[in-house]
Amino acid sequence: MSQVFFVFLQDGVDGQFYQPERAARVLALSWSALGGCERAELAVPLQPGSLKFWQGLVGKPVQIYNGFGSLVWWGYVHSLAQSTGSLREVCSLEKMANRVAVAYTTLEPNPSSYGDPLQTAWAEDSESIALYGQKDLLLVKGMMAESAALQLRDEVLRQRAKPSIQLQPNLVATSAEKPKMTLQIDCRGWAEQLSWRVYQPPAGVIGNTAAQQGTQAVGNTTSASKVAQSFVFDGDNFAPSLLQVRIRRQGSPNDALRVSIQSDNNGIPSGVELASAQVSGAVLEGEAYPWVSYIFSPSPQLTPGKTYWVVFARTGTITASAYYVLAIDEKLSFPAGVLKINNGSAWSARNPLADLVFKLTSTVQTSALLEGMQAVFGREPFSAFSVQFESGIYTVPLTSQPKPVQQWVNEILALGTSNGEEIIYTVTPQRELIFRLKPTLADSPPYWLTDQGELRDPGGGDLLPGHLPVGAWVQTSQQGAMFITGGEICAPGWLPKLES
Amino acid sequence: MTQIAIGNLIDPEETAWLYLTDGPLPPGVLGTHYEPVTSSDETVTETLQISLRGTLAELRAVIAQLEALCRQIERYEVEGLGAAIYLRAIPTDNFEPLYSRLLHAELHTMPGALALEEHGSLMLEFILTRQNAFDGAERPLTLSNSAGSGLTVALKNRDDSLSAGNDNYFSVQTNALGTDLPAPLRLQVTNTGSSPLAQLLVGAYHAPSRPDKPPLVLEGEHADEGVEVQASDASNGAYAQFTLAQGAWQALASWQLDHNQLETLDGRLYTPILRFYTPLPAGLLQFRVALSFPGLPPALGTTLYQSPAVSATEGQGYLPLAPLRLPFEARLLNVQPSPLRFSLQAYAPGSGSLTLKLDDIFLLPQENFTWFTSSVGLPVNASLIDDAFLQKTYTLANAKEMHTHHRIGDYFYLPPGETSWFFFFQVNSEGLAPIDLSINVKAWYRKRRRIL
Repeated sequence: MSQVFFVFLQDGVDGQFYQPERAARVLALSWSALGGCERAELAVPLQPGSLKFWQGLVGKPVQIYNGFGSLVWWGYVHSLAQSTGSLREVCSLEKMANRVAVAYTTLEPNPSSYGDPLQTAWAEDSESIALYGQKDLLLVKGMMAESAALQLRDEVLRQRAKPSIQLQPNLVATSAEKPKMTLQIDCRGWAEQLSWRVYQPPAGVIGNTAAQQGTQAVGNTTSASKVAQSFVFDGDNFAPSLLQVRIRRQGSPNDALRVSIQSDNNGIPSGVELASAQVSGAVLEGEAYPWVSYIFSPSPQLTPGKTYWVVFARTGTITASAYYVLAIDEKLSFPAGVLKINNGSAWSARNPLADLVFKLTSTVQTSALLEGMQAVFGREPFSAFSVQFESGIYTVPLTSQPKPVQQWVNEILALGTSNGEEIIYTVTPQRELIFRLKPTLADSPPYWLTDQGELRDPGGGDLLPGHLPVGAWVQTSQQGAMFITGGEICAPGWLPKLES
Repeated sequence: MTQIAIGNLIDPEETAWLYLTDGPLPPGVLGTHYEPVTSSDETVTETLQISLRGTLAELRAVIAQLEALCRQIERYEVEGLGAAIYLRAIPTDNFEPLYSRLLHAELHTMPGALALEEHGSLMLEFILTRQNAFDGAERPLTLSNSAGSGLTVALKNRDDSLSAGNDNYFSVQTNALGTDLPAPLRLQVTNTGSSPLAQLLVGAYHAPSRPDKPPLVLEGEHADEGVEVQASDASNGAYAQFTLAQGAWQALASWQLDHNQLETLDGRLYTPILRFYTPLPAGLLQFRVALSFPGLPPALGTTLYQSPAVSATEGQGYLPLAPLRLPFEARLLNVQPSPLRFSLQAYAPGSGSLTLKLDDIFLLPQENFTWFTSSVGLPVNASLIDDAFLQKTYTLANAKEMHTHHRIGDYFYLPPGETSWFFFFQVNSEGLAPIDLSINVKAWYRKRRRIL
């Protein structure tokens, strides 16, 4: 009988793919529009010896070709299993974790930190990372002492750094159904490793929300014609779109209080406006200091580590009876900047020194957020991230602790794009992770489902083994077209099972 | 009466065969009743009824010999050790031995065997499962191409008409093979170049009646969209330079396939193999093929057929794309097929542009296909042997057997017909496919029949 699929494993030493000594038989293959190659089940017949002799296969890259030389499935060995009598031995990457940290709430009776959410440093097993790739585990715990959190981290790393052989009862086997000595190999597509790393985008908000202590007038006199607060942002992808400050009006100013973001020029605002916004004095309260929002559209892209300024000035003329008052913090709770006053010709520090009470929020386009996640992977296992669209959707990527990249991806995909388009992704054989828009029916000729239930390629021919229309459209003669989100084939018939 | 024996093809001694009907029967064997089973399955299970008469020692010796054969079959078929065991039949019509490989065998006795054995006679049932075909003795094939005909043919990694012998193929006349079924082929490919041969893709086109060689080369310089550059080390003496605007799929190059070409291509399956004059750059780069009507511009959105995208590998000089049929749907009417525009589309993310130097696209037939792949390559002057009869691929270097290549695809067979063409695409160990790679090829076949 002609062999339908040919299995190759990659040697970790020289990176070459080879066919195992006893050719592995393909039992099932599946694909998804979200991730591409999903799962492959293989069997190697009559492997003598216990599972530990084959343990080295775990984590190895796998490629499966059809008989026409087309690479149809690629991924890595996720687990091995072998049934021996009433026992089933399993060696799996499922619970393996070789980089561990613990998020906890501090117990120390220190008034300044009691009850604070903290996270231990990451501990890692470099040998395991070299063998299997980095797999993070962030344990989220409740209140505990730092020493206990560190102990827990190290113990979990010790136990789970490498995939060990687990014994399970083989309940299927009866005396009448003596299990065959096959080595069962469960392979997963590379996209599964999106859940192997955690990601915490750079904080999306900076500012000073300390209690107000002091006020600063703007536009009541020439000596306070402008007020500016400097700040520095250390993360990346910082594009502030929202500034919130506490303001009230004094009297009834009939102009607006304008704010601009400016670059720095030797410790003072440069005068070069990167973005600006204004709020009419008529809409401001005359009492208390409520939070007022300024929205920058478009958002300026700021360079990490450089100093910038938010600069306030009224749009009308200086008036002593109608002006604006900012809430400030004379306790100086914002060490990353200073408040300066412009007297009509020069800038100088406020006396007494103070910081503005403010919140500056960065939003990031979800497509840029996807691109930013490449940083946590470096080159392994994904050689590149390619985001082939602009989502047009902006979000504040604020999270109190790291989350698995897969969770971020799912959340971003759920948002789609501003045009209502859906996003799909795949991993190429070269391990490039590609995010792209779900194709429309007009993008390419569809596959065909005949009235007799036969699936045809866009040219009307039979599908080649392992070529399923996952992530593509299938046209029917009666019910229109459907987008295929998943597909599976199983031995021996290889009849495609599709999901739409 | 057809002579039946069981043995292997490794041991050169004729006495190594266990004769069961005519010929030098071993002591104790009276004869064997053999009724071949006919079936359309790939294997058949049959029973040889072996009559024994002799001393107890003679009977025990025959039983031991048959049990040993059962173990040898199991050892080879399950564990891959030892040699394949065959049922050999020599029909009386031409006395040419025919072989059928045994896949499993069990020895049984008839009821009352113990009592009979005490009286010096015994009836055994040798129940065997064998491949459902008999193959004759190996015969050499005469191979032909534009350089001439002979038992050995020299092939290059190009197919153009700049000079005789610029061929990557040979043909075989199949109208006088005298085989009932497609005949298993043994190919011997000798590396006559100066560097190891890492990849070898071989595709066959079997023509039951059509004598024309299919047009399988699309030269880069014949595409309208490219800039032709003369180069003596390029196929047909030139390649073409294309500019790929990054950030969106682009129809990079296109060729018109007229109805004559499409008629010869015959609706069969082909793997387009791109050959680049310079290795592919780093970064994501994908290719696919689209077919459209010639009257329409080769732009996106006007395609009739589009193959799945394939990602290129950095530094590689060739790229096999997803197989496609040409023309893309089986022809239903006996009229000429409509011309098609064959477009190569490419995608690279980012902005700016890339320059790609395409030498040619080779449409490798997939009717019978094998991809031999290796990390070490076939050493210079070594031979890669692919034997459909033995179902083995191995390498002979300095008269020593070794294994250098893995294979993807079926073994090769020669169906009875008119002409069969075999096309070869070579890749060196650097992942490049220069046109001056060279091999010599020899081929043998065995007549195959199902009914004795």
